[in-house]
Amino acid sequence: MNCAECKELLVGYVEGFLDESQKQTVAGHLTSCRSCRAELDVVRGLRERLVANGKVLAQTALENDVMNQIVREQNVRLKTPNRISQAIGIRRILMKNPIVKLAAAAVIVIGVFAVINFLGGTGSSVTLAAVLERVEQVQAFMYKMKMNTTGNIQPGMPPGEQQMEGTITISTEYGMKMDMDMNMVVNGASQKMKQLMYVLPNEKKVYMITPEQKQYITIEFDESVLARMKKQSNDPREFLRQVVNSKYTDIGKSVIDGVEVEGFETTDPACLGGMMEDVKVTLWVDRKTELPVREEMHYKMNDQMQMEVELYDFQWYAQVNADEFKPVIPQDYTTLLPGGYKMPSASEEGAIEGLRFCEQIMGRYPKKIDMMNLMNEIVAIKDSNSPTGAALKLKEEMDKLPEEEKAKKIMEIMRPVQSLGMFYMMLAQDKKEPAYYGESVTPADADRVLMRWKVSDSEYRVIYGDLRVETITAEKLAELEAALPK
Amino acid sequence: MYEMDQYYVERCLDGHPDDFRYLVRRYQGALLAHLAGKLGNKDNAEEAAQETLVRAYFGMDKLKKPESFFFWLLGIADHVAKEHHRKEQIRRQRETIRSFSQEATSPELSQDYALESAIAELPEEYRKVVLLRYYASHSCNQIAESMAMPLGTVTKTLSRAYAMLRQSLQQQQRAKTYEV
Repeated sequence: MNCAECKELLVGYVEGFLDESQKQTVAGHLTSCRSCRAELDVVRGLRERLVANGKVLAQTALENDVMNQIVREQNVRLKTPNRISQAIGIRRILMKNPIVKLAAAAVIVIGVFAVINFLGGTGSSVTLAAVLERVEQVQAFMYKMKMNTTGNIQPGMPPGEQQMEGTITISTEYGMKMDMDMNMVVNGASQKMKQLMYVLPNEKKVYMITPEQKQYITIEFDESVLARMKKQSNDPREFLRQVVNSKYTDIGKSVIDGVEVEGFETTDPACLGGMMEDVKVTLWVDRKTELPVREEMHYKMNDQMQMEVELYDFQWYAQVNADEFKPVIPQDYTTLLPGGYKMPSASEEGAIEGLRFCEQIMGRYPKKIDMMNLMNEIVAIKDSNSPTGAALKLKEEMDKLPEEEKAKKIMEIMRPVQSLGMFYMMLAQDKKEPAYYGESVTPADADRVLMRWKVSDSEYRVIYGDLRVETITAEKLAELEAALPK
Repeated sequence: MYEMDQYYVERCLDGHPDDFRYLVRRYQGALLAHLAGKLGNKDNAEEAAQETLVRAYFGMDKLKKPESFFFWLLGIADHVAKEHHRKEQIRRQRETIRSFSQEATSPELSQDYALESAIAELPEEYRKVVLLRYYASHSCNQIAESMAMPLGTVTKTLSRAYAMLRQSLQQQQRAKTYEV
């Protein structure tokens, strides 16, 4: 090796990217060549100077200043209406995430069922029985809804606030139609969106349309869900049975919009299917017509979400026609989920599949299995510090997919999880006394009760830690549950 | 775990603005070196770096290729530096008029201005490699990936950059000697 060749390799030599034979040749040459050794010192010196300067600059306290300035700037932008759209942070929340759309829809549907529940279940007092009787006869009605949600509105998102306002039409013949304006505020940035939703039991389909984005989603309902929806929207007496045990208090007379009303109030969680906490529902009924004129609901979902819902401007005996319930989707609209989405089956098998999926992907069972929490836990996987092999594989798979196929893939992945959430939700609504112990039971606890629900007066169905299923007596269950870690 | 820039960019866009700090941490050194070489004094460089990062945050939805976040950032920095130059000229002119007799106190130079200005003079590709290697602690493999060039090219570029830096530093040294 001559000096020119050696000098050529000196940077590589100090940086350590020469291969073994090159390294030895250079080292050999250096021992015998004073000029190249001097050259090496210069290269080393420059490297040290670069490293030292790099260290100094990396320690400059820029981070906090930058983050603070971003927060200040964000606030300024929010106060200037025409710059709101420039404040980023939620650009993709609604438009790009179909799960989020579905979750939002699920929340709305729950809200609506809750209303019907309450109406149906107000039968414990004489007046309310009359109300129920009247409501039962109604073929179609309309009302307005205002809903304010705070907390973790969307799975995987920081806390925020969402206001929704709109008109809802319910027809026993055609289904349900909602026309909503939403305004979502997350991290101080806000986004508005219009959404039309049709729940059409005859077609077994749900349509969600966002006209401003020219996008839509269709969801096909499984028979199990559909049968249930039909039952719920056609037979309010079903709810009467459900909620008959709720305790109401008559809170006396008042006047709303010049109408004399009688108020009823309940804080019994059972009136919202046992799914919510801190429940308070107030219903105001017109004393003359004996029909509801206003309903206020306040409830919490799994400590993460608080909701205030107001239903008003009820128009009982509304005139509707079939055309109103035909979704209009112009040619240039695109769907986020080509081919539509099939709602998962809310069955025992589906629920077990969901649990198995969670175990594979998270290495444990979900802590709670209400829909919101499930979504949150699954979405949190991508931020996990110690992801499971299955999660890594999934992430890799997702990264490879083109953007337009990701949505569909996500929906496929979420299907078993949604089955699980829906199954549990329905058990709760049916008062089957479901309980779930995912916070303490692990896949290794083969003989511990992971989940149970009532199947008859004296028997319970149990899913164990190893996902075996069995029907056992109430006594046996009591024993098993006593053995659970506190 | 080493997360790619793309990950943090997506996180920010998904409503986690706080994750921007990881990108700040990763590139503040490189950004400061780049700007100090252009602007000379330390305070100006810091100010410009801050401005650059804030602009980047609010412009992130316009970033087409999240994987080339850093190069995009350098582009913004160049804009900011130009604006600073303009402002600085105006300020100097005013100051000269206001205090024509007073000796203006010279601003504090950054710690190794000679080196930073030598880096600023490097042709773009060479400058990027040096900034990533020594100011953003990237390995040569990471550089190869983010600049989409073979590893061999990275190492050659780096060697060549050393030679250019040395030459530039020597010239500065000589110029200084003449001044004295």
